[in-house]
Amino acid sequence: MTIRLIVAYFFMAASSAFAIVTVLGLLRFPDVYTRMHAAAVVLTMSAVLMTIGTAIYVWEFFLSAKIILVGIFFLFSNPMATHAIARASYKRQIALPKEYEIDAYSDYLGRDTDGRS
Amino acid sequence: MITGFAIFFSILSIIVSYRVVVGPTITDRLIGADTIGIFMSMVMLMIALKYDVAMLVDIVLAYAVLLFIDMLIYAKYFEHGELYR
Repeated sequence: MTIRLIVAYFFMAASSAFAIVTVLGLLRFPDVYTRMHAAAVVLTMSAVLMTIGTAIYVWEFFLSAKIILVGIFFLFSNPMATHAIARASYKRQIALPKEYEIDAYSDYLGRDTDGRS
Repeated sequence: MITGFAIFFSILSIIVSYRVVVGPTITDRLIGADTIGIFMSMVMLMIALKYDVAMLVDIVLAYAVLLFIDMLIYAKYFEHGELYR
């Protein structure tokens, strides 16, 4: 076992730890939007660390570049998809609280929070 | 070691499917489906390492793109109630 495989396994173990945090957040958070935050932030970190670990594990130029490309795509695509779902569920008023502390997005939309789009 | 990580991520995706089945709202089901898709793409990446199949990396890339397009279409359909306006 060379030093390269040890580094690769370290990245994979870090990815597994972030995946455990993701599953705990998805199962144990009380609200829809907090669950969405767990699935957006921590899962992106887990996927990127796993692609870095596999790219170090194979250690060929083109194959590693392709795997890193998958990681860069995850880094952009997963927060965008989660943001689209959050925006849609806000506009359809899924599980919103009765009163807000801060609600800047309805001021941006220029309407009351009671009326649908 | 690679096989252990693949089995671990498969078990995690089975646990996440609880959120897909008994999620209170439809947003929970969408988020759980997205999480299961990303876990499965990581498992496919580790299968490509284990059995030394370089073609599976291309399949993982296409699968990630299709997952992203799927989530955007679901979000748009869920927001407007129809795809084309």
